[in-house]
Amino acid sequence: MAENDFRPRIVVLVCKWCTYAGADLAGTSRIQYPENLRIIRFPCTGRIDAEFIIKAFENGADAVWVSGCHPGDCHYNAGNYYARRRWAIFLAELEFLGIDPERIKFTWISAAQGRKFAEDAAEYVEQVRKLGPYESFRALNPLAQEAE
Amino acid sequence: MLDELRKKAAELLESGKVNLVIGYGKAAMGGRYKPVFITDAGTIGLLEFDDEGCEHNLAAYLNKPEIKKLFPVAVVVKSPGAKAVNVMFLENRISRENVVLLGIKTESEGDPSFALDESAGDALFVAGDSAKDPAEIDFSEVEELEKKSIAERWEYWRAEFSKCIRCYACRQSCPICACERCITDKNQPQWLTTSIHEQGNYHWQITRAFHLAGRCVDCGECERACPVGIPLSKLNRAIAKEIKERYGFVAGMSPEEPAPLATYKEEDEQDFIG
Repeated sequence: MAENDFRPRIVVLVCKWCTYAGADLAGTSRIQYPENLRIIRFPCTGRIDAEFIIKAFENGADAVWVSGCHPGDCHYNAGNYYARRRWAIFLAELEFLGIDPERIKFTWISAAQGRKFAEDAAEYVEQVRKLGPYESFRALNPLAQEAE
Repeated sequence: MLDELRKKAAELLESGKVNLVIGYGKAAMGGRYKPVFITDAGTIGLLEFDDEGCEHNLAAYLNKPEIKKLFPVAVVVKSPGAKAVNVMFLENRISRENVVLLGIKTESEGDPSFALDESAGDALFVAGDSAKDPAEIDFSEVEELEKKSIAERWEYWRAEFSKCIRCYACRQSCPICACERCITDKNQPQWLTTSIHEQGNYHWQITRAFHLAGRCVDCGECERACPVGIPLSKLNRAIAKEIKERYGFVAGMSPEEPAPLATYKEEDEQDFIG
């Protein structure tokens, strides 16, 4: 559509035991969801460093979606509990600095929730499409070579 | 109080209990103070104290390898310094036998008093400000900025961070920010760019503040050290505010209570998770 040629690029940081498996289930069940996601697999959300979120924005992401096992279901028992604290504080810091909190999404999605993954994906892509490209962040580095 | 402080410090040196006393001394420019490092009890007269003029957080020196070689040492601390020492104890960065605290308690009325802590239990025991609860942090500047919109805050911080020249004075002067290899110095992989560039500056500032989450004791040394006047303390305090509200934790109050990001509760609030 000529009206809005903007194709959001959303980096998705997920744990392999739950959300990645959930996304895989969406695929094997042939549930359609938008192609705007760039999924990166980690062994556990506990491994997800706050650095990765910033790097995703620096490399051209318009939004970042982080997802993992529900509390109590972590394959490594407590990784997602530590991650939860980390995200809470990091999100607060970014919001204080003027980074749009709508461009960062956190969810718990299990390996059985293929449909939820697909639905959340479609909803979030639309939300980000309306927000538009992350111009203010891009303006920090106008000469950046952005990843596809 | 000063005489008592000098006498005790000299005793510690003479008896060999410590090899070095870190304190404040008069600086060359009138009315200013600077850190002094005394190894000889004969020069103990160099030790001075003035509540207003002696601001530096001397705890930062306990991280330096040149000082560690001289352990055990004695160090003069006020409340922020004591809190920093508590964090160092908690993180096992210095052991209690290696440091003797010469604590200054500022009284709400009258002259400051001096207390000695040789058993090095809770560092705050010897230092403090009787007019102020050490767990109280003034969040008014943070709240000011929180009233602004996201876009306004972005503009504000963009203007501030664009001044950064990546001198790392903030990092060097901080008693807590003391990793042997800082993330910004690593290049395999390169996490942050090191050049003076807006994007890299932003990344550095976010990362530094975040790595201090739940550890920064708000001594203000970083802001004092910054040559271009970035309000670093405001950012640190914003994070401290979130931590206090969510987890009821204030850094440096005790050398035992686990750091908020190194622990968890099953019932932690997850209002931000969709």
